[in-house]
Amino acid sequence: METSLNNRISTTQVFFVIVQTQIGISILTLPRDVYGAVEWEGWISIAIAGAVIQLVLLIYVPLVFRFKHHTFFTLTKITLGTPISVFINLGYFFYFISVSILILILYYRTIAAWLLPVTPKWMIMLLIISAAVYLVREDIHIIGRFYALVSGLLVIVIAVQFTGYTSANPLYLLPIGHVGIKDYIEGAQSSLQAMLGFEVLLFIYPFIQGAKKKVIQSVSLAIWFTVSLYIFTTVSVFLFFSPDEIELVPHPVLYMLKAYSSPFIDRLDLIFISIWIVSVTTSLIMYLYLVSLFTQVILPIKKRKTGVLFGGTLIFAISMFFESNESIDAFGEFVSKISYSFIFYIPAVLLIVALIRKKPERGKE
Amino acid sequence: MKIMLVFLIIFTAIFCSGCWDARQLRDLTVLKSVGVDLTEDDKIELTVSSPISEKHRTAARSQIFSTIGDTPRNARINLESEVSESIDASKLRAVLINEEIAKEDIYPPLDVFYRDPRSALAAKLLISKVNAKEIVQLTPEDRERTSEILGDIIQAAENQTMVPITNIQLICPDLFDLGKDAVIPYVTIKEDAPKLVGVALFNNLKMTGTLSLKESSALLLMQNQLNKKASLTEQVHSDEDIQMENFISFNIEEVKRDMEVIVNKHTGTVDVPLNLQIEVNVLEYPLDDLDTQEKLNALNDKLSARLTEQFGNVINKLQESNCDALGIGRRVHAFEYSFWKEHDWQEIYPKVNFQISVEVEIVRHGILF
Repeated sequence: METSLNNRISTTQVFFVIVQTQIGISILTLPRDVYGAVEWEGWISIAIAGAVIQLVLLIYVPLVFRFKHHTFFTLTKITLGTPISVFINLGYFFYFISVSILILILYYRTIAAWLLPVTPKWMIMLLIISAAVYLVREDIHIIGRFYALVSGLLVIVIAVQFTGYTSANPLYLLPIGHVGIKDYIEGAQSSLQAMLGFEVLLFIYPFIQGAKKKVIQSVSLAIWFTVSLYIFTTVSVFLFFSPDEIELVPHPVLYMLKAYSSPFIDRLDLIFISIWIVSVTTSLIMYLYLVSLFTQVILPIKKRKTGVLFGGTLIFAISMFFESNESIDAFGEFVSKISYSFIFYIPAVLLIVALIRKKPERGKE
Repeated sequence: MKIMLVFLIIFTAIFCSGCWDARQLRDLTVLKSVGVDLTEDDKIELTVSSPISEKHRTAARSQIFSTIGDTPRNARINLESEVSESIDASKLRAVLINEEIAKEDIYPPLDVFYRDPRSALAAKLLISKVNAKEIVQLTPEDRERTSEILGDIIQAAENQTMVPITNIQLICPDLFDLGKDAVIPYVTIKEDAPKLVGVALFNNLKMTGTLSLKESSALLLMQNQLNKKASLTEQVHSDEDIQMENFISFNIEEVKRDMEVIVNKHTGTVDVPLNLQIEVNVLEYPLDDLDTQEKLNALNDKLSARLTEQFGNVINKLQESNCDALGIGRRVHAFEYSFWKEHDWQEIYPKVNFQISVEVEIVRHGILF
């Protein structure tokens, strides 16, 4: 597929795209999730997860670079042949749909618990999905610009957390090294859901304008920016709550902000949620974009805009079925499990196959 | 294009006008203070006070409701049927928990405050010696509501380093921390007004003792939590004819705390040398005898000895109540984790060997000798 120059994104925008896709729904629950595995040393697990993703990036780049004029969906066709590639591409399609659904239902669950308990589910979901559809109809470079624009809000995400330090106890982070290596790995796994988003590199690479080295740089930077933000958030939370208390709180970040009160500002959690909604939308937008990319490349729908509407409606409709916390958690677990295949195993296999076949990159000449 | 525009107008008219979650002030009963008591048949009695708006005001400035239920939330639901308006606790200023409940377990009545996303976590938490209902019901002359008096009393006491700075949320980490215990202000009624008498000591979630205001000041100094100021009055002589001349009052200007936690793994004992250096400013000393360094030194020594003894007594009380307010356990947890894992801190703490020494130095004495 040919990509014209006017819908390309710069390497700076790639940074924002990766960061905004990664940071989303899970930042609220991440500290609690890693606490479950390694207690107060959760931040170490997050750093480990960051390092692992950095390594995964080393699989991605040579793979997509070999086929830099093809989208990932055609890439699978070239390396694996049509029959298998249909299967794999369909798998990715379902994966993106699943992640989008998960984002949407977790978003609803949080909003309903914290902000709007009475507003009906369809309304809350419709508002965010229509915003996403509206933006995804545009080209990738518009999305990239939007991501760069809203990234300014991350400053507030960081700033409000300093209020937690008014009653921080550094002793809550000690002792370090009280669990084994296995536990750290387990903690790193439980932070995977929060890390998801870097895999979009596989799909947006053909749209990136910039040297290979530059791309690696900005994606690595994005990953470590996200990891640092996560570590900062987790440490803030661990300093604020005593270890046994944190187990009771599903959304510790919001809880910490809610507790802060001063004469001129109150209920920082509501400010945080408002900004967090944007971060959630950006994650949703990216996955919806990938869904539409699939419909454009693979399905007979040649206008991507039609595919967007189709994807949006599908995600919205399926999300309406999830009611109980139990089914949501089970679904989250399911997505976590299948994500290993899609972000790690399949790209690894593709790279190995591509290396063996040594298919030279020609593009359309 | 026109059709789109019409559609947009209809859409916004329908969906952007109504808000499901709107809460109008006129439909709400706003709670300012809540008291939780235990009835004789082990049910919860909830007493709330809510301000009456000026328009509807007759004689009373606030209305008091009291209901009984199985839990605080159940009582509140019962209350809603009584007041015919929905109840809003987001502007709560004070929560009073009866001592009897606190001695069993303080968490159950507080759960509703932690769970509700709209609750006011910054509300002051108080333990009530008498029935909380009596305090909430008080009708003060000089203030709008009891909740304001309570808020002001606590605020003043916090500033003078008499009680720790707490609210519902700040107390929570300590309640759940196995290595540090909570200390919560303790109030009663005196002459138809709420009176702060000291602090209630907790062992995890159970109230196990109390300290007077003077003792809790000492505790705060040992916790290194000197707030805006702290004043003490001590008897330093006993041979003066005029009783007043036996005393000295001073402000504490600065506290330097040096605390160590030494764990002896072989004997299973914990030593805590705690050294406080306190710089004071004399406020009142009717004997007027501070002109030479020798006299100052003698007085310093006397004060040091007295405070060392008093602070030691406070520690004894803490250990009797098994209230680890200094967070010794947290330090053991952080720095001697293997010891922490092997031993039950509940059993170790009362046997911790504290070595308190207080050194007082008079650095200023006003504009007189």
